[in-house]
Amino acid sequence: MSISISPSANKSALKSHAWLGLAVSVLMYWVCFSGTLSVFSQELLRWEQPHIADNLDYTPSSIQNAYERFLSMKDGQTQGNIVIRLPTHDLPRARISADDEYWNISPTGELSEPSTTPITDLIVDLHTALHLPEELGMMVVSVLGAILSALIISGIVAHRRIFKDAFRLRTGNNEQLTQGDLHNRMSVWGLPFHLMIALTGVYFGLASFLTSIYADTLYEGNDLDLFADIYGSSIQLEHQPAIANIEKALTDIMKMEPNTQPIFVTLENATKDNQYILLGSQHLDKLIYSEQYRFDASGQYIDKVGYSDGEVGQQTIFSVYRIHFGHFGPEAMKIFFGLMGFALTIISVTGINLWLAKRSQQDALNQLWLGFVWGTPIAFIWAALLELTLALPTKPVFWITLVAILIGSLMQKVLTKTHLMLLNCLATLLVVLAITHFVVHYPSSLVMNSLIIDSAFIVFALCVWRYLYSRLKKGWNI
Amino acid sequence: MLLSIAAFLGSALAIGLFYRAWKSTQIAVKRLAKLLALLLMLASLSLWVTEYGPELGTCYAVVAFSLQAWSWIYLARRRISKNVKRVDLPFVASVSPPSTTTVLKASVKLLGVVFLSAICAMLVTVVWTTALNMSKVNQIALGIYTMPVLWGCSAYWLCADSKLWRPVGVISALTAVSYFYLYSV
Repeated sequence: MSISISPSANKSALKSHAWLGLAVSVLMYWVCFSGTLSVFSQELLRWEQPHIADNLDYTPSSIQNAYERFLSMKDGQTQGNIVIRLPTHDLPRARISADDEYWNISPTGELSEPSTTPITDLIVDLHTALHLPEELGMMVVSVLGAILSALIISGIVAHRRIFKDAFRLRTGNNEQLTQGDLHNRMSVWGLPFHLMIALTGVYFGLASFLTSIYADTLYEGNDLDLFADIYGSSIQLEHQPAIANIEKALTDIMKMEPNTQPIFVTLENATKDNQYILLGSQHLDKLIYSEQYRFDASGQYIDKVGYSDGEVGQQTIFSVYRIHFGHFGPEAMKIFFGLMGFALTIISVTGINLWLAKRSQQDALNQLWLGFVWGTPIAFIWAALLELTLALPTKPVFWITLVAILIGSLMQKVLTKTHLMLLNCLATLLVVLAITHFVVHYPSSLVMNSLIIDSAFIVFALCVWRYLYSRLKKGWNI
Repeated sequence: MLLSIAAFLGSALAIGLFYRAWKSTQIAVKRLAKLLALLLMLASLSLWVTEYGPELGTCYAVVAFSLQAWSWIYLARRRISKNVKRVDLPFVASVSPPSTTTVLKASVKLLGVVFLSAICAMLVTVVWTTALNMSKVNQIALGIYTMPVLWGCSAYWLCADSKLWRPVGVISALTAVSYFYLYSV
């Protein structure tokens, strides 16, 4: 096979690659790193509230009880829809919510306690919206998805020796060589995954702009007709009972679709005269998030929206979420997705490292970049620790900590010292976090999920120390 | 389960053959190994698809292939033990601010990458997908998945061309033509 890219095209592609990478450097790193952690958001939710028993033995009547209790707690009135998240194997607990109020449901149908997951929210919100106002943040993150695709394209054109170097990884004392090889090998062999992440990532914040042009072109400007074609048309009902019969709907779906996994119930137009039940049930052999079955408020089946057997286009649109976050297949898939997300994080870091190393000097940019790379996980952990021990709000703590680390990095002129200090700090905090979580939640922290995550923190700490030790061996202790 | 194991081993073997082709200096061996590797990859993909269906099967194949390749690269890494002396670049305390022209050029580029490329990619995507003979929903889905690639190409060109006016001019023209095509026809 002989594919040749001219040296001038290669040079300009490299220039483009570097410019784009630098323009989004920190943002891309945050999105990739928090995205990697977000793959495990369901496990982190359970880790944050380990005393809530994991249980799959919820019955339709216990869900109905919880809904009725919730409704009476809200005096029979909610502003928005009522959403019930049903227990599944990856998140074996049920939750009911409306108007930004979240409650865990016990297997007997009681509202056990409010569901608060500030540590998971800290991570997931950084990934989805960079802690900006939701709509704006999602747009910015989606723009990063598009720039990631530009980086992939420019990266391919810039990589003249893509085949010649296919398996080359040189380790040893030459840090720059190793980082360059890591950057290129991880990028090339993970290309389909990175492209998929980029393409699906753009969807979340920017699809509405594209669909509005489609609505103008194909539906004479009528957005609702377009939504009806893709998401199914809304149904009009009147004089519905005040208390919906979710129990019947759940019982019926288990008979109608025994091979699917019900994952959520939404009471559309909740507490209004035209309320109805939307029941999402996952088809385990497909990537669509779920098929949606509609029932009137008395629990009579009306129809299904048709994602599972609809047009290919409809199915691909509804597959975006699960493809992006790796929430499909066995639990091991999450670990694989996490590894691939981590690889993308390494690519984003090594790319900037290489650019910095090619300059003729070191300056504040080097200091800041070190601060961002190692300061972000440190700030995450510090925010989690203060939340666990003092119940301090995670987002302000995260940003204050990160700013403090950046200032500290700027003040320390010897970069290797900053680097080693941050590595030590990260590893120590990882151990402290695992121990603190274990102690604060003891004996609930003895459940498998918490034990695995706490142990993982210790393993990560050992990896960071191992990395630190290897740097020391290379003569960094100056 | 057996099919999954076979698929996993098949793609691992495919990577091994790619490695063999990469290492070999003989053209014939290279070609044969590459061909066999491609065939094995296809066989592995078809086994994944048979076991888990086209959607999940393809995802498993892609993930398995990338992870196996990385593992292989790690195992085949070459340690350069030569004592390379660490070069510490001189540290400059102050950062010299970029010139106004540089900032202006970078701002135009950034605006082009984020806004112009986005608008152009969206309009062009709607133009070409709606010209295809398929249902509206399929056209929209195709657009959703391909628009970021067009955006990426446009952003790439904007940053790669030494004369910024060229991509800006062409992308603006494409945007205008697409807009008039969609909104005046």
